[in-house]
Amino acid sequence: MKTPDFSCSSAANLIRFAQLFNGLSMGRFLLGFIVAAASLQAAVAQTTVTTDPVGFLTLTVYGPASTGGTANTYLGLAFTQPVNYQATLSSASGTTLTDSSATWTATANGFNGISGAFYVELISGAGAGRMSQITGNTANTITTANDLSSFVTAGTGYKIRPNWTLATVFGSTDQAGLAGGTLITADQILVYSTSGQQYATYYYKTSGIGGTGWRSSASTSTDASNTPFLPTDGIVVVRHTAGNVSFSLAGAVKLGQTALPVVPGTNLLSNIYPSGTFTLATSGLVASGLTGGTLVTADQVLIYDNTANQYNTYYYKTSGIGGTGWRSSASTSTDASNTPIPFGASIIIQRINPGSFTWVAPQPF
Amino acid sequence: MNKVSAPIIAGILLCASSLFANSTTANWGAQISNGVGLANGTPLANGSNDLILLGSFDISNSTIAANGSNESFLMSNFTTFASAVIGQGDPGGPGSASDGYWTAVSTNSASTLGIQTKEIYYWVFNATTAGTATQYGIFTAPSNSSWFFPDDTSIAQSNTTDLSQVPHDSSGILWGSYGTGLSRDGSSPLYNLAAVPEPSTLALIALGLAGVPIAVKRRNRSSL
Repeated sequence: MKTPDFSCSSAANLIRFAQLFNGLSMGRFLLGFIVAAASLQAAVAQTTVTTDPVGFLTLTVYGPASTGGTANTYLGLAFTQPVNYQATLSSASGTTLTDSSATWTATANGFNGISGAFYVELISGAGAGRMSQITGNTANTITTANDLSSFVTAGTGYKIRPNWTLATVFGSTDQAGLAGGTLITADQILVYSTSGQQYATYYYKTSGIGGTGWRSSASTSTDASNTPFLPTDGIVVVRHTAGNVSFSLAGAVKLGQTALPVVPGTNLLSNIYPSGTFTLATSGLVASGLTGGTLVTADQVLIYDNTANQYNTYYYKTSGIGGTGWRSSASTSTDASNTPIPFGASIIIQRINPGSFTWVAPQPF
Repeated sequence: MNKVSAPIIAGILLCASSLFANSTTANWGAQISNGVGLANGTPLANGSNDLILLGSFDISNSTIAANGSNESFLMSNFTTFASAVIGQGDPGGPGSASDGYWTAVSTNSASTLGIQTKEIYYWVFNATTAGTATQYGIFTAPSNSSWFFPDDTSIAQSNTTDLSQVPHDSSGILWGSYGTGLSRDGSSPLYNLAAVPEPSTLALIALGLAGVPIAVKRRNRSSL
């Protein structure tokens, strides 16, 4: 199968990309326009200047049947922010990545010195698709939160992008239209920390002590609007107000495979792709290390059904009554391999077996 | 805090917690191994629609075991989260390899029911309703952290349990037994139900007991 070329270096490719998207079902999401990301700043001499295609999805936050009830929506950030810088690395050591040709300055490169605002993704080599937050940099080195050095050789490609934040996803003044209020009455945005195995809670505060704006449950007064998320972070919106809310998420389509760390316990991960054929079978989960077995011994994949307000649980069954393959908890024998991983949504991987693995999700289009 | 305001505040807090109750998706069954059979070792038939309840007791396991045959007492202390029937979720009719098994996905609010963090029990009957059963079994796994309803107050939860996780001793089998008979494919021993007095038998016993004071009274009169 030929892999589509989505580089936007030519008008022809843009048209091909738009045609592909127009021919695909987007479920409950609407695909908007595809335009060239002309704002890229990847202008270094030895860098191939291509831009990721961009578009938008309409994301829906579901409300309960009546105000006072509860509805959960598992959102996925199906796009990335536009690439800020793209080039190749010279070397790496520990958490330091070196691009000897770079001459970053605070004025020319927005990520310079802004800890937590940007992340780096390796785009070639053994670690293609791996991401890490940038915690600092010099004129030609980046310090990362995670050690990526074992995946880096001279010539490994990388991209630097801004993180999504509460303000860039939902709007600095809640243009998404989530219900504001207090921690109790407002819609809550939950972001799962795999390291802490707990949710961080955010909401849009509309009045009272501490003022108005995005806040975390930890402080009524500290501005949380720049709280960063990786595009692979899953987000749960818990809504208590009747009626659905829809808003658009615009960004760049992530190309290439994506590497997502999966640790023992709960992992809330976003489907980072906005389209294509992305099912349990094509997800790459089993090949990446998801452990099969029985319903109680296998790792589980949980996909939330907003209509039924319940989780659909899937696992890779390896033996016994009902045979081998992807199954749901509702039947040991019905093949569930074509179950789609929804676009614009996040899923939970319950890793009940010991040890971590990296889920290498292939580009699905 | 005065005596009046305390219950009011408690009531407000109770309303607030129930107002925002979420749900728990329970994946449960006997789909792996160790299905359910009658006391004589015959697997419960797929398609029989024999009833299984998923829920929690508000009495201790020792009290449950001590009153194992007292269905009305047990039922009055049981909160049902969901029900299923033998054969649910698997193909095949009576006599198939999946006799004695079921697979169910059930959603309810553990916090609304007031059983969040409470121990999970399977209550299996050999009839389509609890009141008509002549045998039942009560199973749990108190040492398994999955056998407790999650707290779904703040966010929807998922929980997975399976009968095969139930210990084969009195810590897990509060009424019933283990090991009499095999599953249809002959691969695994069954969890067995145990007999309980039929409702008609109970009525006769009650009638008989009611007659004892009368007989005693007559005997006393005749001895005078």
